[in-house]
Amino acid sequence: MAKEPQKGWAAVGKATKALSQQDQTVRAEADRDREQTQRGFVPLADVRPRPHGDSRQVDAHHVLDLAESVAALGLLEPLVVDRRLHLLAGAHRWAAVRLLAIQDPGDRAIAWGSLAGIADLKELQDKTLSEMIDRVRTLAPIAEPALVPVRIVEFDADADADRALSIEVAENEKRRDYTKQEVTALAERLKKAGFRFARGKPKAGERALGPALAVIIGKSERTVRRLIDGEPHIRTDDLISDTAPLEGILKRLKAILTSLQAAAHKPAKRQLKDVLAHAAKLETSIQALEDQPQPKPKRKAR
Amino acid sequence: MSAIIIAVAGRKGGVGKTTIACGLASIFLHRKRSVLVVDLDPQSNAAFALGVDPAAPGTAAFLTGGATPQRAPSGIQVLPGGPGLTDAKVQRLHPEDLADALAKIPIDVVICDCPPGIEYLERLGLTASTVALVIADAHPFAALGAGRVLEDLQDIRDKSRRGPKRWALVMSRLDTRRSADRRMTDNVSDAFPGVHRLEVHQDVSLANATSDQVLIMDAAPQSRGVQDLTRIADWAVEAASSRSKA
Repeated sequence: MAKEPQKGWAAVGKATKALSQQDQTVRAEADRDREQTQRGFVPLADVRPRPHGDSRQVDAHHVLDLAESVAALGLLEPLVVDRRLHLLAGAHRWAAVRLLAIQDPGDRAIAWGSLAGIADLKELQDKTLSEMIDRVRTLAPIAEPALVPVRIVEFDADADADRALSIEVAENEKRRDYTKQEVTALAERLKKAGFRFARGKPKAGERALGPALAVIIGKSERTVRRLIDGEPHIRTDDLISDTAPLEGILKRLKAILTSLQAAAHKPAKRQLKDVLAHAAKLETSIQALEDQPQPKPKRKAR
Repeated sequence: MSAIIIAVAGRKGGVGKTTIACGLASIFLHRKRSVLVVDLDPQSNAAFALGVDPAAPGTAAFLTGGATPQRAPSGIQVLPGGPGLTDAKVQRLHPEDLADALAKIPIDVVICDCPPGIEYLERLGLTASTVALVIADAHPFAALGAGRVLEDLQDIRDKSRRGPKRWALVMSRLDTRRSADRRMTDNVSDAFPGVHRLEVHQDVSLANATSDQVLIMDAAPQSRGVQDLTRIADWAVEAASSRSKA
């Protein structure tokens, strides 16, 4: 005669099967992605643009920052391409590498200029842009024929535009979490390549380390600084993320609203304290947001 | 004796995986076998328990860059765990990569201490193993975790993938003063019919050994914990050399 299963245990079988099925699904996805993805190196010239055109403009300033760090460190993240080498993710990195492959400084300046929407380099009045053109000219080019690291996803973007888009989105969302050690090691490599931490503008011939590091890691310069100065166990994602301040602000506002509504019904000192506490956190979130680098002004195409 | 690779898994945290893994390592060392403990847990507790620097280059570096094991004072070789195991590079590894890497190392006994909750790391250990121990204590949470591991093992076998040929469920931390523990055998045989069962009773010497960073065969060779683990070691050796699937 079978005993009745103990409370709790009766539900174990069903729950196990349900969770286990999800385990299998997750695993099948991971297996599929892994089997369909190869890594390798291909000639830069073989990489082709997205079949359906670029959905976003590349940011010329970002491309320049990337080019400087690629010149020093190489391309750390492979470009993601489909089986016919159409670009799926990495437009800015691709533009940076193409820039570096241009051997003649003058030609390179013109190429970057057209990325930046500058019609005529000779007519340039803007000092900031002139300095950027100088940085473009002084980039150390990569030897031709250039090879780039790629991750090839085995499908045809022409035939499956949805999958192409979802890969692009997923790649952009993937936030690599750096440890203090890794960031410091990257900083050292950049220093060896002539980058310097500088208050204000770097001297002629030097490149600014803070922005270069921030570009590689994908966080604000302030966050990178805090990481380097901070405790060894901190990782970048422990610090404020790029979107967290906005979400934090929304949360604080909601909390203040709730507290005010509660206070309206039950006025008490405690309610007020809650509101003040939320307001203080709101201030911190706003401050963090203000500390983030502002987007660089784009030069309008004539 | 050809190499035997024991995966110690269980999904649920705190059921005794690391304690049992280190205890088994001690027993095999005592039998004069060469032993390697592969710590697959970002917490790197097995490394700590065996007296090796838990932050030294370990399993992650072994899998991605060819690092070699650390040597504990006792002579046990250890690949520490650590946060490197959560790196994207490790997540992208093929499940058989640990199996392939271990095949190149001449060692008698390899014990893989699998982490709680992190399926891709656990899978590396299970795929590499010749026998697997699935650990659960008397709480239904542990049974849920163990159940998922058992389903995975069955799935591996059904699809003829690389993996252990035999496995057993280890009822751990057994204390018959607790009513749940008294009923555990019945609960487990109902929930997991046909799965071989082994036991490790609650024994404070086992926990003390890991916290004091000593081997159980040095600290308490006559303890009940050692008796239980000895039976498990014997079962593992027999299961690894058997031809049939049980």
